[in-house]
Amino acid sequence: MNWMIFSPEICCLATALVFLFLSMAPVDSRRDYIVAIALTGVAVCASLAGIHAQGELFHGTYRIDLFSQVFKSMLLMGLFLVVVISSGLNGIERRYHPEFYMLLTICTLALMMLVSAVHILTLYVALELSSYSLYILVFLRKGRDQGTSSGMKFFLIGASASATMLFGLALLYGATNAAYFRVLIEVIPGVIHQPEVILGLALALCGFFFKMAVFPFHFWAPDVYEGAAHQVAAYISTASKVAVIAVLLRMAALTGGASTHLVHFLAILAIISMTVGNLTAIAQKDLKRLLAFSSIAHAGYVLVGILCISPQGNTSAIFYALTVLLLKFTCFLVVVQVAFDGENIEIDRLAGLHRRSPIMALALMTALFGLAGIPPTIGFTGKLLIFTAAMEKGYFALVLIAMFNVVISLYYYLLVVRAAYLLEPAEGEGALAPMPGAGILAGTLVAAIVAIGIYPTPILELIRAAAMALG
Amino acid sequence: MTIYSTLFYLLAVLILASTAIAVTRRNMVHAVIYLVISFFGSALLFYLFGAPLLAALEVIIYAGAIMILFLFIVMMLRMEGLEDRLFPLKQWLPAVGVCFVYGMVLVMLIVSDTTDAPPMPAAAAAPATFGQFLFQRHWLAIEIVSMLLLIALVGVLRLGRDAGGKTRPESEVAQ
Amino acid sequence: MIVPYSQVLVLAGLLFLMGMFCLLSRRNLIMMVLGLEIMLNASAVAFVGAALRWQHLDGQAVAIFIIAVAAAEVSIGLGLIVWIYRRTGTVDAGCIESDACRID
Repeated sequence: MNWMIFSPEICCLATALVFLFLSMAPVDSRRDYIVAIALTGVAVCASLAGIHAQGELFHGTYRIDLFSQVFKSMLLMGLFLVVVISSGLNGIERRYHPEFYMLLTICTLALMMLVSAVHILTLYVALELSSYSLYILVFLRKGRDQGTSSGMKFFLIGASASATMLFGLALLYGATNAAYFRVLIEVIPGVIHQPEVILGLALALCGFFFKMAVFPFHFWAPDVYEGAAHQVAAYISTASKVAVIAVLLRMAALTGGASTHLVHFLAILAIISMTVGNLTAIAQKDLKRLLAFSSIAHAGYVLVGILCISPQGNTSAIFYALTVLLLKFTCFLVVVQVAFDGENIEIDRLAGLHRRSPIMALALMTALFGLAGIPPTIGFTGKLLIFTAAMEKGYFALVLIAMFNVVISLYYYLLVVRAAYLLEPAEGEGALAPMPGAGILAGTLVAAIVAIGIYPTPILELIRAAAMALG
Repeated sequence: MTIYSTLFYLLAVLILASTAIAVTRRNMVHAVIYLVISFFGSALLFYLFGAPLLAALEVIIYAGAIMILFLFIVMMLRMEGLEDRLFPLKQWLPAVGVCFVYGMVLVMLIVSDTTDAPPMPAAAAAPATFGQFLFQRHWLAIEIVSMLLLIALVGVLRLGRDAGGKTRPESEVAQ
Repeated sequence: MIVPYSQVLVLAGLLFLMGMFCLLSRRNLIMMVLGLEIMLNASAVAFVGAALRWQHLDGQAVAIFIIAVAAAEVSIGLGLIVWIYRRTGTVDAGCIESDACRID
């Protein structure tokens, strides 16, 4: 078996093991941070180097192709970025820092396996591994009760969603005798009209809707974002979303577009998620809760791309995964800088950010404009791709509702930007002292958001090829 | 009706009845005991379906370890006598709603399945064959599950270490 | 010869429904986790039945992993419940959510 193509996963696993042993050594946050940056950096390089790797491992239960490798690179970049902003990890007690890095890397490893898994068993256990490490990361939040009720809620909703998914997978397997995706993809279009197959697919998608915070399973998102440490919330809103988009694409590709019921089902969920997310976000005072509701809305936009089940739709969904990764992470970078003490942050606390730290205010503004879909940011390109893919399939009403939602969302994004740029800073709020390197990171991210927005062609070519590998 | 199908129906009635009793008990100790019976029934069902290893594991892990853990916790937290107000009306509605929709689908499923599907032939997987299959085909999944258990260990350790958060300072003072 | 697969599916479906009903209608956290266990067990029954239907071991393999996941789930779930009980003195889901019965 060819171990080279498995190297990103091995890097990740090695990092996790290093931190397992470091958790037994004396507490030293500085050392943990440096080790984490170095090791995750190596993993990112390994994944970028192996982006064109191809092959099948473990008796065909694990498939490595351009599709999975592109997602793995995104995941590892997400991990690396989250590790970079963990230098002032004040939301978590010092003695748990090695555990924090260990759980983060194991979660990334699980998500990487999730995007490569092509057997229902591997898919299920990888999903469970990533969910459990996230539950524990949420509990790690320092303080008495923050994280208690949100952690419990996260756990109960997550476990019930994955049990539902498991039952759906059981129905699928029982109806088709296919556990490998490559068999399922051949069998399902022929039996799609049996009720148990449709029910099985719908239930199986539930587990991923939970991770993605799509409508019926979105309750946890605001509480968990609020209850978890900033870095953990950043991870949940970036890397874990990216992986789920990959799996949803794989699952949707299984039907081959043969079922209109499933498309209608997804369209309804997309519309409700967008609307609920955007309307509730308007009323939010806490910045992290606002970001949670906005990610519920963005899950709706991605679903529009996914339910096209066409190469254009898949390309747009993958591109949107990258978009969400960059934009959400930039928002959380600012959150971590402004709320360096690890406490939650009200929107009012952003007042006068442009005086306290111009670069952070600029980063926040670019990211929020990107989320709202204003050109020339990457967010505009992402939305444009999704909407054109949906138009090509003739879903005009869906696109219209999504456009309407984009307008609603503009309102609350502008409220935040207004707080950062137009309000005067509160008394006694001096200049912000960002962590070393945070300014450079923010600048790089802003440049990337705008540059990819203006000239997306090279990345789009890669993503288009990845979407082809999905077929 | 063969002896096997008679056995299946008997077990199905046993499992469904004991589970139904379990989920409606107020007293949690009773609920757990009824569930143990239900899981024993499932274990027998697994044996009937030709999975002797799984039947043993179901008894050892599900009915044994997991349910006993529940029993420990219920007794440790002294909740045997705690009266759980059964089914508050507020939660009745979504529960009944979800179950009704799901039940309808299930009924549809049964009605639509009128084709005389042949009864499944009996078969048995020898534990050795099963183990070989597992370690040849699915050892990646085994590794993932082993990591899952490691993570659960870390999580419980963290929860356990902090569990006395409120009482520990007092006990330290007492020392 | 045993029974047609659809009857196994009915059994598993009813079990799953009972678990879901328990999860949704109870307020006691322990009973909710118990409901989750019933749901997982229902999936295991469906998988083992499917394995017999297709005469293929994949279904049984999934069932063995379900048991392992259930063990992890119960340890985390009960650990969390004990933690919450020590902090708040209650295992009532509604109570924890509303912050009404905190003792500190």
